[in-house]
Amino acid sequence: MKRVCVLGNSHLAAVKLGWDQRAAAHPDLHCDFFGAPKNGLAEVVFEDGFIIPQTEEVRGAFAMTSSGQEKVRLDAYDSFVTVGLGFSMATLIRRVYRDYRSDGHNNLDGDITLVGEATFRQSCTTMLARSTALWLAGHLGSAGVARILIVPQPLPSEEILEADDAVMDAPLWQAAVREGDDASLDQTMKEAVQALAAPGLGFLRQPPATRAGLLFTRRDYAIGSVRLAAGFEAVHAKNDVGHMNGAYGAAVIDDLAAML
Amino acid sequence: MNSPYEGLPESRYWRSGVSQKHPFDIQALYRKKFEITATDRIATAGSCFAQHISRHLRARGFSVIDAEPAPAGLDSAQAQAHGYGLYSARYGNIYTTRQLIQLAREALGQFTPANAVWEKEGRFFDALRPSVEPKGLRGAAHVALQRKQHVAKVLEVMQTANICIFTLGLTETWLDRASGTCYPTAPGTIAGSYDPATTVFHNLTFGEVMEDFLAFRDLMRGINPGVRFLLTVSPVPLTATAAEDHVLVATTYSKSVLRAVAGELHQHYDDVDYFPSYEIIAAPPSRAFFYEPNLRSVNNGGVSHVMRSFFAEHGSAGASPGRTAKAAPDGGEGDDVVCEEALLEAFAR
Repeated sequence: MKRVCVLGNSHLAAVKLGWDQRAAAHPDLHCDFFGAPKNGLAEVVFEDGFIIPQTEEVRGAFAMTSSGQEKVRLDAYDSFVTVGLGFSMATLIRRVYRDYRSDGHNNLDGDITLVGEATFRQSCTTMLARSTALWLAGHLGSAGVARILIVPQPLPSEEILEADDAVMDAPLWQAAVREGDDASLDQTMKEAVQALAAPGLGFLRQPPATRAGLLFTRRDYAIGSVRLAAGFEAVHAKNDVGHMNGAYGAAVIDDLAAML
Repeated sequence: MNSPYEGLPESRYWRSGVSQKHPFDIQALYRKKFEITATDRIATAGSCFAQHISRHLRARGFSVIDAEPAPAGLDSAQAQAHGYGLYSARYGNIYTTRQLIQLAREALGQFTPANAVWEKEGRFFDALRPSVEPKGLRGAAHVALQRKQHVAKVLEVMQTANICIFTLGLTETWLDRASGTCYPTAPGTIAGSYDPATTVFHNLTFGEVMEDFLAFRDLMRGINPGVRFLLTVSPVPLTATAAEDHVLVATTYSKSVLRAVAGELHQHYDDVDYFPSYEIIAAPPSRAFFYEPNLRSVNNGGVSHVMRSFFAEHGSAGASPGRTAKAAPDGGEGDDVVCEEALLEAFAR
């Protein structure tokens, strides 16, 4: 039996639902989930072999997602998985692509600064290296955890192509595809993952079956996504294009099982 | 019989002011002409040595304009290698007053450089700042777009600065024969290729340097009537000369012209100060011990001594160098400067 601890933010909900659907197909796995909304996982300390929340809110979220445990005992698990936590194409789009483009991009209009391709990619790699996911991975590695897998935040639903400007940087995503920058951005993500790979640290690529093109998730995986809240029943707003449902989580679980 | 030299302070006599002093103890080399305060918005530009001034000013909490910050995530070495954080905009080293006035005119839409894109092995470089993209860009159009964005930022610097610190570096320069466009390096050094039919060497004279700087001062004052200038002369000798003289003779000519222009500007204009970094490093009292063994690069001790002299007059603006973790020099690679002129060494036999 492989004991797996899955840590994440709101995107953990899909993976938790996926596990509920697929656990029977993976009898050699045991998964526990510890989540906190937004960037709550950054509000923990590693102490005496435990991950300990520093706020009541995160402590409560841990208890809710793990069925009662308020802290994570590191030696209770063989592997750790992080879900979301800033490791995403959305981070690259929002933090870098919004203001900077390289000579490898076609979309050079607007109030942007043109930089060399290597500069753009280095900036992206560092943004991902500074994510909470990688921060946790660093601490876990230092604490002696031998196997850590990073699951990226899902790509947004392809519905974002029809979304209005108020939705999750929709104009940026739309322009990226319209102008043909999707391949370059996807390549940037791949190179960042290569650059960040380390012994014991692996990265899951979003399951191919869930993807729509290079930058999006198929729209059916966004239908009925739920919040990281008690009961895992509260559905996201209809115009939420960033969170995925249990079917998406099930695809992630199957790919994770193959990697663990 | 009275003499005008009677009763002068010891700093006015070579023996008491210099030869009897340890170089670190020489006093009163610099008396500021005007205050530089924490609220002043400082623009920095110049030859390689100016990068030290820029960095130390930031470390002391002065408000040095950075109109073209590096994308988040580049470490300082990567950023500097791409021209970020060296000066107030990403113009790279401005060695000559001709480059300076040309850039200011370009920012104001009064000048369009000719042959502004150089090519090397299928990559394209901004001929007016060829080192800021070490690997070049994919196309000439990319260079043109990047330059357009850069020049807009230079204009922002000109419009917002009220202190302009410029380090005069060289008199030797390369011009496009037809248009007079001035390049920071000879074509063929970083990119492009040298064609004597289109590019000509020119060694600026005292009159030209003076005229260039005064024209720059007029442009700046036209935008910012209250702007003030602080000049320094780089103590870094020429790596190579294209003049017909020995490089030592050529260096002396160049530095003499620049020092004389700085001196005359300092004498005649209340809004122009001169800080003697050149004298501190290059004059006989230092016995060249502020230079690296190549007798050209200024070592960290020299830079620190220069900046101590500067801050003895100007103080700090609220930060101590030790507490400004990111901007402060660390004595290691952080004190490196980006200096494409040094690349000329590669052409030595």
